[in-house]
Amino acid sequence: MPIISTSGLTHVYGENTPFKVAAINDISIEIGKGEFVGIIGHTGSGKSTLIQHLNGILKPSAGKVFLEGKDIWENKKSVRQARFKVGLCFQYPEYQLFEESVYKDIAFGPKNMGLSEKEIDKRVVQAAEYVGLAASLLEKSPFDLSGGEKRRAAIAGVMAMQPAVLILDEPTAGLDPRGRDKILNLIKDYRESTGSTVVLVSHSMEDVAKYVQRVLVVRNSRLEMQGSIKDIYSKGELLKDMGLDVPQITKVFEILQGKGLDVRGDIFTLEEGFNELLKFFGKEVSV
Amino acid sequence: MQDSNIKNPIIEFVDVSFSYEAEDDGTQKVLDKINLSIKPGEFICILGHNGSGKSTLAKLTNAIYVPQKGRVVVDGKDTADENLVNDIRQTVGMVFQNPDNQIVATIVEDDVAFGPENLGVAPEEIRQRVDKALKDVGMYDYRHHEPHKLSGGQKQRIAIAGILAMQTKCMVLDEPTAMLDPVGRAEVFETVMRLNKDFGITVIFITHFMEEAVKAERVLVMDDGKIVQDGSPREVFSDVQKIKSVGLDVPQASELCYRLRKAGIDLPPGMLDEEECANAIIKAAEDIS
Repeated sequence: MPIISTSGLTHVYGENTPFKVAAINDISIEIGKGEFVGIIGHTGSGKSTLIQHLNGILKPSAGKVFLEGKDIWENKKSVRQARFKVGLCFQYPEYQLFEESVYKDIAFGPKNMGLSEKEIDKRVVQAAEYVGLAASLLEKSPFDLSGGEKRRAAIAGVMAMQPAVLILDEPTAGLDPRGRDKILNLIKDYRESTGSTVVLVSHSMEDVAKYVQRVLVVRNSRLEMQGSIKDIYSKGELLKDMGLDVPQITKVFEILQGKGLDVRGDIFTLEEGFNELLKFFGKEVSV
Repeated sequence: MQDSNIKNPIIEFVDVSFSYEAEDDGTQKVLDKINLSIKPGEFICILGHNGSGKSTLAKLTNAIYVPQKGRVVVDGKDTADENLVNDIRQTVGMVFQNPDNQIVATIVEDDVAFGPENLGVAPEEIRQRVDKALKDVGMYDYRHHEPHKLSGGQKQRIAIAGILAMQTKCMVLDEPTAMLDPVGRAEVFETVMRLNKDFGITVIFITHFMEEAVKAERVLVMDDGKIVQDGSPREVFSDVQKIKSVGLDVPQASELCYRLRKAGIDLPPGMLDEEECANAIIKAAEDIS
């Protein structure tokens, strides 16, 4: 059984007005327990609207959302459950920090869950550790942190609820390369150590190729396609059409193949490309 | 267009140091003895991790900050001279990262008119300047729209039009593409490239995106308040190790060639895009067969 699924999910903004528009239209997806899924699509395609349904922030105009097989809108309790079990980290989450200390901010979610002080403390310390925030920062005001630290504190706040599914909307937007790699690696480590399901919304085709197992592509409010990195990234023309692009390394190999070099065409990460060429030139491949 | 300026830099930093006052332990040095000379018409990208001093450097170019040590001279004018601040701001215009923080009016064309209005430009002339600026950034059809309903890339182009309408010789853009999606990013970058080429506007473009930096004429890399690299994209991206050591990335094509070269495959340094990289690999393959 998938941990989250939707059937015929549709959301209409401005119903009964002349500005009525379907932000997502008839979307049916399944996300398996423990999966690392990427969602890509251009701005305005409906990605953010879609993920806001997965924990019941938005109520569908039509269709259903199931968490562990149960309709999350069945009753009040089930929606509340969904909000705790599915952790959603918005774009630029650092703008949502508000408490007087980093500790209190991270503790906000667990506190709302009604956990004991002891359990809350355990979770805050652990979440701070997941995101690599030093214990000495916990008593500081969140506004005294650097941009990257703020972002990580905000992500820790979601992790501290120990959601079964962690959804992150563009967690690396606006960060420098070092900050970007740091966040993606900590999400990867978090997933590996907790076995959580992770959904990553991203504009970076390089990052998606490097981290996720399966990709959902949203276009014009519909699910355009889904599949493995290989399935999706081999459709370069279609992606370009959608304002997306394959990674540069993939283009290098397309040219090499086009010019008759005997190498694979399905290369999506630098690591794969490097190893493929080492093999081609008869050098040792380091594993 | 700038005959008389050919020899003189439009922006010059001479031994510039700058510190912020820190809460607990005195001051924090952000820029350390920067020397930099920018010629009219140059297109420069500045790279550097967060906190390397890029934004401070940007804010020194139009007297938002003035240096505590050294001098910044813009088109012959010292930014420390308070009487010249207005002149300097008419020479160097700035665009910031967040598209939502720099729009002041409720209609696109009013927003673009804000700058020239403040300069006291005559109304008929403002009309002409606004129309032209909006056409130059490809937003003329949106002149009567409400800015908050536009995309991030469109908002940034409105901000750029606002500077064009002030007819500044130089444009400093501080991570204008950081919050945009790939389409918006390309829109903004290409617009700025075109303005540089068509009108000779000097551009300083701060970015984290290497695919933008490879298209500049000149790339500066900052680290710890200093300029640690200054050269053509090819020169700068040849030294992959150096770039990585300051927390930055190189284009995948550059890194692939670099790593293969280190593994003993004979490839030239500084490959910037997929074409160059693929051609170099094919040549290496022919050489060994």
